[in-house]
Amino acid sequence: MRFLNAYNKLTRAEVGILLLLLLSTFRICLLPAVLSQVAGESCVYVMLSGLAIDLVICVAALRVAGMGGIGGLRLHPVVRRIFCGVLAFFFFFKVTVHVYEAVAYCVNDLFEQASPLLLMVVFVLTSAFLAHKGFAGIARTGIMFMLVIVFLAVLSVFFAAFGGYGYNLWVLLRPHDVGKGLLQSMLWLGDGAIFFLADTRTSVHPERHFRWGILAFAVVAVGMLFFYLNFVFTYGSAGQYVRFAFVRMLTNGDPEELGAVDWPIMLIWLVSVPLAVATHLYAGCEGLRQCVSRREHGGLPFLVVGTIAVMVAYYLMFPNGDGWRHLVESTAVAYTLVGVLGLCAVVAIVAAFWGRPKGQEVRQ
Amino acid sequence: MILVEDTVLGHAALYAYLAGLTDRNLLVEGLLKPLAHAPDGEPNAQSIGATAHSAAPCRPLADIEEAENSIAEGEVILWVQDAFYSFLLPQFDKRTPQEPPTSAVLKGPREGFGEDIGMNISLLRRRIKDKALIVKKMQVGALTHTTVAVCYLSNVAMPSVVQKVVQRIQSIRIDGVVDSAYIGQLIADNPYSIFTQYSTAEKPDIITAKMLEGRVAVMVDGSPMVITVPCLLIEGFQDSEDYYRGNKRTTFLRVIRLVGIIIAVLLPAAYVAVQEYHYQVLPLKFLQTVINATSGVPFSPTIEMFVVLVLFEILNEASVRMPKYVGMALSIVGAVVLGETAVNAGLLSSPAVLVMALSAIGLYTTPEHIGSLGLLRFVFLILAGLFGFVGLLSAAVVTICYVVTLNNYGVAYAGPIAPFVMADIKDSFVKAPLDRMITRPYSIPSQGRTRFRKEDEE
Repeated sequence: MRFLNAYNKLTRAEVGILLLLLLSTFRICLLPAVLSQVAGESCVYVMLSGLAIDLVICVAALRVAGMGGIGGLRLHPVVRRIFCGVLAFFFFFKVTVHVYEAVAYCVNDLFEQASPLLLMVVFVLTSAFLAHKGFAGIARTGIMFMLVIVFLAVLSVFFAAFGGYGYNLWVLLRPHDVGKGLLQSMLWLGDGAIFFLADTRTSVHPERHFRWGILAFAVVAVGMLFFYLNFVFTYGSAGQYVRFAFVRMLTNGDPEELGAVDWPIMLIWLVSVPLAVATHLYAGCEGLRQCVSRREHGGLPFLVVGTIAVMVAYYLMFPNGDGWRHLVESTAVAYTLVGVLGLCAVVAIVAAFWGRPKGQEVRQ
Repeated sequence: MILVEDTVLGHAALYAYLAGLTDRNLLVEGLLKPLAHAPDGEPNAQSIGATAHSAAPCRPLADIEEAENSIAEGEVILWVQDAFYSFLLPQFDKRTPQEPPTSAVLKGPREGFGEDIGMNISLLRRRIKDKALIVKKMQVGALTHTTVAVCYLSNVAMPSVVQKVVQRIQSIRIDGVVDSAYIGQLIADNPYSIFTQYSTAEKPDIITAKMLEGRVAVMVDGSPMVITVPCLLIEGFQDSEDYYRGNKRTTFLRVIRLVGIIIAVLLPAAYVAVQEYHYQVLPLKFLQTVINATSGVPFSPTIEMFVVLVLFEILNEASVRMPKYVGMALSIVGAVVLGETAVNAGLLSSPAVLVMALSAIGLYTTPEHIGSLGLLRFVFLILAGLFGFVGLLSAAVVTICYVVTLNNYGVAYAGPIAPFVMADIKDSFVKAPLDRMITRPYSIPSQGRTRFRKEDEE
């Protein structure tokens, strides 16, 4: 059975899609909400700082992925196992946090009659199915939805042009308290570390599609950035000063009601949640596999264990929402800073000096 | 079975054959008479073959078991001096090539395949007059001995794919094959998938076009449906007529088909999700209209939509099974009487019937995927009824993930969209002008990528 390690092979385009999904999904909706309590208007800058840290991790991780992943490095087995174990725990923790936040968002804003536990089961099972298909499956699914997202981004630009939306963007030029709240948001960083467990030595006809791929990627990236900013202003801390920006953008009418553009964007976010969660879940399972097992194949038990662990963790922490948030914003900071970022730096240095690149492989 | 006692080259002999499968005129004039009136001699394959009509080639058989099989296959058996000889004098009632009902076109060729595999191969050869067209015949079915022909272009199709198709057909152990669908299902990579793993076509122009892209065609004796592999999801959105009309119109129609499919699968579920949980999505005036239309309906939106869809499936199934004229009457009863009466009686709401009608129409824009998408909309409906948009979108994500990771014959089923192959977009949901179709699709493995080269004008 081809599983886990067989599905961590990614092309350049798929790396880009995953990166966009990871960087946008939870920062768009969740991080601004957390930051709004401490950072106020400057949350955008905090997020951009986080983005910079993530990009550094990402560059290192992609360098490792280009060598075939963490298994392609000359690391002592114990070091590799520790690194994979830390990453696995980190990703499982992120999965639980993201699922918690996604369910909370749905129950509070979208789907008031729903049972949170049932929604959690739906999210986790959907993500587990996607994780079963690996990075490649998630990225390909993302490609399908990116087409819709780009379409909506273009639509947003159209409405912005006729709705005076440009006014809201001036917020960016009035910074204060830059950097405040960054520490509390550390758990939301480190998404790029998933690529330590990926293998990007594969390619589908790279020489024929590179230029077109770059162009398409650029269009998607610009669309996502615009979409990202829109959503931050609408549902993040921006809610404090530009309530329901899309409504204003569209009609300049009652800011207390959701507008026509808000709904499609919320629906798209609902699609990107399982994709982002599944990416972390798969990374967690692959990390666990590399930490525990020496076998090249077989990983279904790790996925089952990971999925059940996430559900149990959610169930145990669910009744105490505030304590949960406190845990995330305190313990996770130290853990993320010391554990993940430190280890990522070590592995990146090892990769730079003692990595052993493997030959190119071509996936059909 | 008919038994005829006669003489052959002066020796007593017995003919055996099955009525209806043998050309009786040829039997009498080409076999019985020449052999009975021939001077005495030693009967063997050479002397019998030289005496009989050239249209009835003689083949010596090893034993009585082989003779029995030959009779079952429609050959005439001659038993003389304890030796068996067979003659093939076939007479089958066969259809002449005519426009297939499943692929009627306004523009383009109208001839279609028939049930006779020989005729079907000749139809293909009339379009591809090159030695590169290879037809490999084999027999499948322990009892039916059905002839199956694997057709491909030796300088276009990838040998690995051809080899895999041939191996899979040869490995089939079954008592009988009565249609090409049997072969299609038996050589599929994912037999449990609800998505079609092979394409079918009834017209030689479609099969020719697919073979020119590197696909392998499989013909089965007795079936007008020819299957092709590898199969892509996007083939369902393409029609033969697309290539006989302008590219702009074709692109427009392909997008319309895509919209049709989205409406067919998502609209019933979205309607239920909005009505049950997310009514605030609707503009106020629209919401008022829906509330007015649905008030008094005794079912919940989910049950109501489920009932409407099941009713449609029953009507659809009944009208397909009924004779043509009764089927038309049934459609009228279903559409007008049942629908109208149910709405007037307050059992169903008019928006639900409208949504069902739109969904049904949308479904028929891509006949290739009716089976799979018709099932999917029920799944989506149930999940939307249980979890609103969360359930609907989760189902959509899972379905798309399943489709994009599906492979057949080493080819990504969702290509060229996922994985994204820019060079193949020219003939996907859009269609470029024919002179831009320079290369064969990368999504299908093939040899010799270039298929079009424009000579410089003098």
